[in-house]
Amino acid sequence: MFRKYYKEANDSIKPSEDFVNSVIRDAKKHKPPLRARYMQYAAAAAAAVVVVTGAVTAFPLLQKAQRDGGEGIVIEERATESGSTAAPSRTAAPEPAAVNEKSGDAQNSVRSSIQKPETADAPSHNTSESSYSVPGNVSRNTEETAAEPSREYNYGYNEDINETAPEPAPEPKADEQTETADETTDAPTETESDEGAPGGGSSASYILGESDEVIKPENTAPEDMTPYSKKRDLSDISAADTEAIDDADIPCPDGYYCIDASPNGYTFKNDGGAVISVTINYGGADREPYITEEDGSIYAVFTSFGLSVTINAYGADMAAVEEIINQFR
Amino acid sequence: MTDKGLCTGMTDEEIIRAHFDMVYRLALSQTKNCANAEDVTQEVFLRFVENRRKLTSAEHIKAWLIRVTINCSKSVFMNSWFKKTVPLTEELTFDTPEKSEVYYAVQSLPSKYRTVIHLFYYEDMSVEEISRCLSMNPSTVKSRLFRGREMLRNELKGGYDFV
Repeated sequence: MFRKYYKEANDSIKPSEDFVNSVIRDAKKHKPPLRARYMQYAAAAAAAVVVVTGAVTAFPLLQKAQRDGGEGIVIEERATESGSTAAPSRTAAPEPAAVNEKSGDAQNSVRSSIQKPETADAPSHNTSESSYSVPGNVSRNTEETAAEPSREYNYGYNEDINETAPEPAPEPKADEQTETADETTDAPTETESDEGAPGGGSSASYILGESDEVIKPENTAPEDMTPYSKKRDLSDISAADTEAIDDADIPCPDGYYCIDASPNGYTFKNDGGAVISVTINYGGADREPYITEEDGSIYAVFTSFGLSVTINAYGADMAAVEEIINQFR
Repeated sequence: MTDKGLCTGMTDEEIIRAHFDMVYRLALSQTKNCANAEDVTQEVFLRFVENRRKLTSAEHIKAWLIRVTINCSKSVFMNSWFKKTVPLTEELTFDTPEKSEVYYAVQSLPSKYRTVIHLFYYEDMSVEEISRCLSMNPSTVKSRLFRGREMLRNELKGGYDFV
């Protein structure tokens, strides 16, 4: 009896036909499972992941390339008539585009002077430095200039320069540098071939734009002199090149020895192969050191006592870089 | 909806229509509210369409629908909206007082007894089938049936036999 009444009571309960149809209609247009709905976005998501990954991967390289190209080390070597006075110029590191343009002109002048030595007969009263850049066009110029005898190398404005082995110039004091810079800027340079000064009154600046390259002038006899534009790797630095230079004024960090010294910079090296390149220019107001370390290379720039110092270290430890910074500050 | 069931030979619409009353009544028995029962029914059949590939036979479909209906009915009570609201009282009318008396006596039972009473007396399922469908021990089903009948006897106070 209970079963019968309970069945009849439930049988009398019937859902409306509209409700049944609405459920069937909703079931027909039901959404696919969540997993299937997201599958349509899989391609876009994968593409986005690839783009983001590529950007993240390339960003440090782009940053490094931009940094290297924008703030290349400018080393200017200038010698006065006596050869004993050297002063860095006030030339600031130009923008990359300007560098290329300027250096391109300078390279042309160098190349033309090499190919056309007769043009050097024209007297030159310019004291401005002929600058040429290394990065970018280095390899091409290296081939050209390497084919030429090294003695014919000149800067296009003074053919009579008798290049001799330059002596490492002492580190200029800030005040003296200011004065000498003014003097050398104002006074025209007229040098004779017998002067024997390093560079013979020449003034050359070159830019180290690539972080993995070191270009330095050869402090050797004129017979062995090679163009400054010679591109060399760090690994190519021979034992002769790395001969230590003794100078008490050089801010040589502990464990390093100076392998190259010029009025506008130094290059240090240790037995482990680490190389620290220091570039000195006249800067403006004092600026706190900005140090970045990336992939074993350290880049530091600061201005202290009117000297704008740029340090590029490859394979060196931070302590050595900080030691150099502290010696300047 | 034109897909044929893997082993039933019926379309999804046919399966829904065949089991619609069973699901709705079971949902109404669990929720005691027509609106909630309709929501549960719709949810059950949406899940059925999504999972129809997994159901291999007619018995499997029925057991699956019962199981999902009970679970969805429980989820209604777990909803925070349900906890903060009081459903409107709905009075179902029957043509005879015996039907009404029996129906509301079952509705007054606790949920766990109401479920086995409904499946046993309305769906004519055996203890074994109920135990499989509800994933519980047959002895548990038997004890719940026994206690449910005792409650109904006290509630009905009539001469109903619970065969």
